[in-house]
Amino acid sequence: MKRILLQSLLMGILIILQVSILNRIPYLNTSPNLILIYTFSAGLLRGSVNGMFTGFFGGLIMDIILGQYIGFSSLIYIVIGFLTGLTYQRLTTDVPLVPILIAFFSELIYHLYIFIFRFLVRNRLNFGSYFKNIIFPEIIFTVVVSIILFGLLYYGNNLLEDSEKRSALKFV
Amino acid sequence: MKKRRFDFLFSIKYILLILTIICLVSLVFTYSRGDTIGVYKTAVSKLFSPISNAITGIGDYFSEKKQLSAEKEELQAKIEQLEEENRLLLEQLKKYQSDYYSLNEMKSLLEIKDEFASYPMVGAKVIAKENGNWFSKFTINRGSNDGIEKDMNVIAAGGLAGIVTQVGPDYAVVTSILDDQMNVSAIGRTSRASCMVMGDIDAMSEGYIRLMYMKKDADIREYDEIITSPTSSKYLPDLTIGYAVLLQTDPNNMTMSGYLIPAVDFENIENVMVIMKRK
Repeated sequence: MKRILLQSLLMGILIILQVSILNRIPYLNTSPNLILIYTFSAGLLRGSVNGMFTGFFGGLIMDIILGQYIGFSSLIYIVIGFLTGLTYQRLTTDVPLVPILIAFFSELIYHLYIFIFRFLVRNRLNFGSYFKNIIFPEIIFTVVVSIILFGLLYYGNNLLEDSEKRSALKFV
Repeated sequence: MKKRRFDFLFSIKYILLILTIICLVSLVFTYSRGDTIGVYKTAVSKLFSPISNAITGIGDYFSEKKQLSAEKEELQAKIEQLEEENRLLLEQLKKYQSDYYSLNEMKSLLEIKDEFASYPMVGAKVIAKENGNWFSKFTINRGSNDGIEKDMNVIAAGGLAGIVTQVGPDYAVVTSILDDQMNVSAIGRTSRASCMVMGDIDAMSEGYIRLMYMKKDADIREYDEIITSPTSSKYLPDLTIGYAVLLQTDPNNMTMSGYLIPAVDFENIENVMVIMKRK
């Protein structure tokens, strides 16, 4: 219960950061995708179910705020939450390389999804230039931010697990 | 033993299936009935728009910082120069400056009066921008409570900025003319030759918009003003879109295409005006 409350609060903060501050950073034309980072972090640290629900609600709210079709980005966030959740407890999260690689691949999947379903279907085929101007800068920025954000989530998760274990011990 | 290890996948698969179906259903629903989207946005907007309204203040601080640092060096040099000059020159300068500012102000007022005076308008502030870099949309702090409706034209300093695509009670989403899905039929201010202005991601990153399907023998030159066409179905006539550059004859030898420099500075867009009249 405590975890659900904390997670929804965090999601709200990230969404507000995303829509109102991050796209106004001076000297940068791109912005990191915080919802994506949070989704794969939830998958990595808490498993598929948590990842999927995080992605579902995060994507849904983003769609409602600015998207054209509700459920469009929600769908890919669910898939990313599910896929990263499959590595839960099979892959160590102590090494920074793991979240970096996961961030890279989930960003790639996310952008390919947008490219295929919003651009390719309208016969816009210029993938090379889209990659150079949009996808690549955003991937780099997101990977850099994901190191910081994932680190924070990792320690937060450890603290929560410790306190959950302690309160479970009290009952024994 | 091996089978048990993956047992948990079955319950996860059901959740995945249910969530996916919810998404697909809402996708299909909003795709087929785009106009009713506002109803579902109300709840979320009640929660987020006041907060993002407040947060925008912090965002404003950042964008001011950006401008300030650019002007800092220039200002310092100017201060040194001014200190060297005697009082007489300073007074003269001040006089010229105030003349210059009032002239500029009057000029812009006159332009706005000339161009848009016949339409009723309402001012609005940009409170959120599309997060990704694929699309070019922004949210303004006026909605149906202020009389905003879908397909109303939005202008900013300079000319046409975009069109309202979604409306909530106290906010509206504006798709800018840079967006890849936008098509505006347009004409040259002087030549009256018709053409299409199309948003294009490739051109967007360079700060341009595509200009297409202009007749090959049209009397149009570089930096000619392009305005919205009277034949457009959604856009009011005579709004400035931008200035034509890099015109070239197409391979089919019948039409010309090129680029537009948008009249609006989309990078620093903060205050816009919504024209309260639909075509």
